[in-house]
Amino acid sequence: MGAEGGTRRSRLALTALDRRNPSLSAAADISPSRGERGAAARRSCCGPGTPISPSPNPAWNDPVAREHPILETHELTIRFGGHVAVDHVSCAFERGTLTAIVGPNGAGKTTYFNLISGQLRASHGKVVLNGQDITRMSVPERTLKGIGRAFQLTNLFPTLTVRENVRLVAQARANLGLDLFSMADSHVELIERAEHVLAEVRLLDKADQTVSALPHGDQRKLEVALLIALGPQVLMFDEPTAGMSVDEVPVILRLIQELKADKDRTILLVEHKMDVIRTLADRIIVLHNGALVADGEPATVINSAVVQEAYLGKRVTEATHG
Amino acid sequence: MLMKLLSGDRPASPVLTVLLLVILIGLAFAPFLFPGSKPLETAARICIFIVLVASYDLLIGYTGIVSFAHTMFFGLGAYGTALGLSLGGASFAAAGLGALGGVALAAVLALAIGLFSLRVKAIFFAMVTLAIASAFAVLVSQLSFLTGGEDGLNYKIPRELTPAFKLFAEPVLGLRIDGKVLSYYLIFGVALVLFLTLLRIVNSPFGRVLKAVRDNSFRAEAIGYKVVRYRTAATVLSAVMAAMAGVLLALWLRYTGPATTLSMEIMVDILLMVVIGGMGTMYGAVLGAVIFILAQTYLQSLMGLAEQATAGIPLLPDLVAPDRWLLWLGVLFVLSVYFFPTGIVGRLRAGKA
Repeated sequence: MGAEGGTRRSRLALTALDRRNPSLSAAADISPSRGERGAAARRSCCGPGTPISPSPNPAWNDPVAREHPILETHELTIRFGGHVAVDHVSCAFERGTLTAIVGPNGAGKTTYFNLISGQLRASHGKVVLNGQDITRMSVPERTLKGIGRAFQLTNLFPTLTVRENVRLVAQARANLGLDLFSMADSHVELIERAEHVLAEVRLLDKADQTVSALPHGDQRKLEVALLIALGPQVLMFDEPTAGMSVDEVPVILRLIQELKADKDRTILLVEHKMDVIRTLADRIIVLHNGALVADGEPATVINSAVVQEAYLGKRVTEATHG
Repeated sequence: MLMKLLSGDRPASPVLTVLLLVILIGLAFAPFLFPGSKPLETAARICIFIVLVASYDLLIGYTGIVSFAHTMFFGLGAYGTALGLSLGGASFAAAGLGALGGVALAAVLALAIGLFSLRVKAIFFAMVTLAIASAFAVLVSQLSFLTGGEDGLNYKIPRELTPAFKLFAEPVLGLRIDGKVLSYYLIFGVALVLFLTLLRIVNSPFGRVLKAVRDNSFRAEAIGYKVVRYRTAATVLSAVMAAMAGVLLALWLRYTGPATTLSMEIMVDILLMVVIGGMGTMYGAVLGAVIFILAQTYLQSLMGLAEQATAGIPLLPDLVAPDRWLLWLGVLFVLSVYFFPTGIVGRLRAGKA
């Protein structure tokens, strides 16, 4: 399994190199237009005309950092007592791709997310972002480095209004949290930014409602809105459409698709709905009992014996060896 | 201009606006409106407690931190000032220096408590603060050569703040402006500034983060706020404000002792005032402090009147005898918590919406 993973990684690295042909090379990344975008982002992070996701931090476009895959996990492992929830998972994620992470319940998908975003600390192994080891960093540090996360169980600020939830994210990005003496409402640009994102997720008409009073579907949308407002490099969605009504699912999917169109962003998506994965994913990795058991193009992986058997509950070890 | 002073935090209820205006006018003109020493004493206590309760609300109502060490910080400010005045003589410089020392010590202690213990669960933090506050109270009563022990410290305050000092030869609006009145206005002015500062802090970007931390500290971390840093900052700010309230108390009473600053009873009073007024609203601190202190001061005399009025009726006079004032205070609290679970301000604001 380990050796297999290694070859997979190199194959991925090759495809990444293909992608990085001259037209998309580092020279293009530091072109003036991009520089201007960064400067504009620094001047004001918002304004009604801003694209759906705010410009990434200019430092993220550092050509040196670009040589690495944006995110890598090396032998990432966590043990809870005797139980190994994530088992030596090595994987690299390239810029501008959407990777779906699938696996049966209890396979360790959310735990793997928790290790990457920092809610859990690894027992063994490393998490590397842009070539920098972030394994020992705290959650807020990782967030400021560019890892953003939407949660499976809705995880919002329940007594605050919808607008305030998103405004808080914009405020964190503007690094204004320790400002004690200005009025929060005088930072109009943060409110505009929040309302812009809310319009994107179709929640602007509910901006003044308290979050705890929102229906479940709207809370899910707000969860995504917080992630969009954060504008991270790596966006992690943990079952974004879970528990949503049929007519609300497309709103979220369209948002993810739009985010995906921005080639600076990398999306990790835990999802069970195969049709969703087929439309969105560039690549699928399969976790089973905490271990990475399959990795590749959606069509191949979905039809592979490993996935079929993992979902149907047959013994996977035979499949991997077979 | 007014909105700026209130940091955009409107009372958002006509009744509340009227109540706050009445309180503001009452306190601003207390020496003229209510002559005599007892009303002035009460007004000064109200001013001091508004700051103390508001600073506690910053912790419990806005950040969701339960601390029992608030009276310790209050006491540090008071003892600092008291020591300054008793060791350095009755000058403003000595009072200022002592106050500065007390406030600085409160800040350092709050920082240490915050950094060491805000990572643990809320209940453990509450226990830690309870232990530290009790230890501090014991320490103060044991170090009697410095603090006067249980007897506390009596000291002289600058002459300009004593009744012997007359600002004008002639009375103004029928009131002789003596040092006591000046002293009251010093307290009123400082308390007003401190309260408006707290109001600004809770409506600042920082204050908004505190609310987010209270609501969901896990998510606050995940959007990039270092929660321990914010909790510690809130603890330090609230300790500094409490210590400043302590400075005012020391100047007003010309006495500082464990019973007036450090006792657990005061801690419970503060908690009750926050709950009665409404947690998470600065205006709640105002209403809570006013109602509680008025009840504490005047319920007994009111009940004395009631006893006389009901003298002919059997049983009733016994029930309303002034000795039973604590019972009725208790009943008042139970009723207010029952009918206003979100506090008076919470109730008034909800009623408007």
